[in-house]
Amino acid sequence: MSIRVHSWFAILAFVGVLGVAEWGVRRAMPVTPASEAVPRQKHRFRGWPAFTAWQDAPTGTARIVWLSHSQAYAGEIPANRIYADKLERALTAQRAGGFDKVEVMNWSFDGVTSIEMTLMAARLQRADPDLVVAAIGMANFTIDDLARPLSQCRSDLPRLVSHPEIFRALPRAFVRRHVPIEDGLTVAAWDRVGLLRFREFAWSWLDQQWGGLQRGLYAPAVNFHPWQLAHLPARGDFGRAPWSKRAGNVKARYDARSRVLLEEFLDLFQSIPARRHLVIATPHHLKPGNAMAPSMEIFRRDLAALAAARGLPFVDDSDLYGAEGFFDGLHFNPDYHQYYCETLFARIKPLLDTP
Amino acid sequence: MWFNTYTYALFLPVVLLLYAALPLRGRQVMLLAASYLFYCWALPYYGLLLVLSTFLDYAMGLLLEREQRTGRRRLWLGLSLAGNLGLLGYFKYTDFLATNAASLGRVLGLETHWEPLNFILPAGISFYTFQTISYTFQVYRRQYPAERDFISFALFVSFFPQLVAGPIERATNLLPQLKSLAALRMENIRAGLCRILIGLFRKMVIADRMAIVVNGAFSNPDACSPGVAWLALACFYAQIYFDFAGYADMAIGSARLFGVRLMENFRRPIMGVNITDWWNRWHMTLTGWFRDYLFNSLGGFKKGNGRAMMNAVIVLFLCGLWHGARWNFVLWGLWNASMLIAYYGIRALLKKYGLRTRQTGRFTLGVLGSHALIFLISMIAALFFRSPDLPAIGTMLRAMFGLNGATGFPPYLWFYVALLAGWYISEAAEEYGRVSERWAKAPAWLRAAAWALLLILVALGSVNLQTPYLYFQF
Repeated sequence: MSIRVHSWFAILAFVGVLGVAEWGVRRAMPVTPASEAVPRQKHRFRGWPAFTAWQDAPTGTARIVWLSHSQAYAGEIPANRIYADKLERALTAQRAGGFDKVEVMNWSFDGVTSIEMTLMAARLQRADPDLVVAAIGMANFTIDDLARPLSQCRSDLPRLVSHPEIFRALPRAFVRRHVPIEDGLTVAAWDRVGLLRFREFAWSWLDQQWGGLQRGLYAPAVNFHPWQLAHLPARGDFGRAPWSKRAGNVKARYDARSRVLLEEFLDLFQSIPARRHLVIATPHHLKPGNAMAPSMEIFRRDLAALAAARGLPFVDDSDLYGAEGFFDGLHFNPDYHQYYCETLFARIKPLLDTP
Repeated sequence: MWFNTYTYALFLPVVLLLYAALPLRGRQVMLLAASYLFYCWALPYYGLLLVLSTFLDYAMGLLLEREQRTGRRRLWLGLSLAGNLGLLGYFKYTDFLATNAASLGRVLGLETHWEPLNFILPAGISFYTFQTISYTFQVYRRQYPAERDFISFALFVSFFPQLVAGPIERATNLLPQLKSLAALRMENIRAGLCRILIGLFRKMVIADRMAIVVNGAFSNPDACSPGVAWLALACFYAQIYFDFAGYADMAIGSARLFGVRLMENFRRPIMGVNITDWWNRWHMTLTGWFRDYLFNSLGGFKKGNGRAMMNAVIVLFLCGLWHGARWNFVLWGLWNASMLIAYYGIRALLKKYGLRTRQTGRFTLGVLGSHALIFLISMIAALFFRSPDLPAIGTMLRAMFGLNGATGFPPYLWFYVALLAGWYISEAAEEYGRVSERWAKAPAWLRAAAWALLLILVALGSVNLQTPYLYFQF
């Protein structure tokens, strides 16, 4: 098979155009700051490999990694009013553990699944935080996750699966369940090719300015922006499909089958080489007769038993506040970020103070 | 395995590399193994059906060739048909026939009940059974000698680029190519890759995007105003064309990498100026199959106009059923048959009064009107094709004529109108302006840069909605 000279020019032109496009889109996408630098992931669902990249802490700085869900992310209020940021300031101000600075690395986001929780735990296998906290709830370990492939996760944490050190750290059963070949190849391509990542960035960018474009032209089943981009003015609205239905209430279920998800996560969580570990069942309030109550009970029991079996300190905050603490049963009213921060401060400062 | 997956993107180069490294016999064996791997990727046990079909038609082909007695030859042909159609019928039509028989029984006052078997339809069974039937017919009619080399024949039945959704090949075209697989050539690789890229664009950028409107509208027709309902039908016509033509592009492109030229399946159907012209442009290999093995076998045009029309009704009724065991497909077939009969009738009348127009091959206002009429007929056909059941057709019809009281047309839907207009303009430019011929004369580097831009467009413009190829369900 011989290739003539003009074919070489053609190949060069082809590769050149692709190269320029790849370079351009990588420059166009915003840089994600590392988790120690910001109170929470400002792009919400995208940029997680960069956000969770681990750098050794400077001398005199303690690090707390906070693995949690939308309650800790609290996208509805400014970042400086969420409990994770308040806790960081309070612990630093009180020189907890004698450290000059305490960094609370808030690895939380809306709708986090057991898959993403396990991936974050795998990400931390070579990190050495002073404290690692899993503040989790039943909805993060539902039976739906058992059949969920990587590509159905909201965040881009699944990209980490294509990193050899993360892949090796994952339990075999997890890989068999969640990483079919197609999904493995998809996240690997997604991780390495900027052009593939840029598509969601571009649609988020467009939709934040001209509402309706994302659902109408790109992702009818996605009701969030993969990239959350601040300070974009709304310029217009392209309308909503007449067949659109408003999202209903989440009906998450946890039962005996979900236990394997929790076990896998806690096994990896336990093996994070942190100085201290802490497992928290997060606060919530269910109205009487809520269909999720039985699942919640099973989850709390399982979490307590599995944490105890692994020697992990466990706190059950499920019933800490009544209905007044939340605007929807799970997410805190703004004042309660302060109250919860104070509760956590009282628990965590002694952990850091103890050598 | 689907074409628009990363698995296929990995599979194809590996097969290509192995192909390059092997001698002829090795290439055939390797392609056969690769084809079975491709087919059995999701549901391995359905590969057995492929094996069964292969053995049956290989044996029947040899028997047909040796046999001189007409009665025996008919017996072997009948056995092949019974085996292939039996396989197809069992998996595809058992539930449909039994459920309808049970319903009829209840109407007649009998105690009848059928618990559906709910088979998962083996992928591509409608395609490869038709392909093997075509082989047997060709041997029966002495149009092609029976294939003695089993590996070549098995590869003919299972050749992965066209196994799952066609084109439905003829032995006369495909078998000689598979028997003499040539070494890789740069020209074939370039042409094959370009065709694959066109297929990806058609599927992932256009067809899947059209599916957003189509799926939404058909999921809740009561919410659709007339404008939205008609747009959804137009979008479905576009979706099924770009989906299936995109698949055919990828099939033809994949085969071309190995130097194999498959038959074309589409030729700009939107440019059809009458209903027969449309059928000569749409799913050409299936249309050709029905014409050669059913319509002509029933007598075709030889026994008068009345008989020809009856034959057309039978063929299109069965063509509808071929697409699926549902009454809406039967209606789709009958709608097309009625349009065909109407066309023949009008043509006969025009001829009688000396008003028959000649086609000049130029783009005129009359041609534009013909295109619009054929588009409208295709949109209504799309209603029957896409509706999940008969009541859904009624609900959509109410929406189309504003009987559900819904109003409004969200501004973003104008984008789809523009896409449909773009489809028409680009096809018209190719049909009447031969754009691709002119483009082929551009410098190689410029064309390569354009292909790269198309790849970028696929990467950026594809939709976040995984839609399986529509014709996989048939």
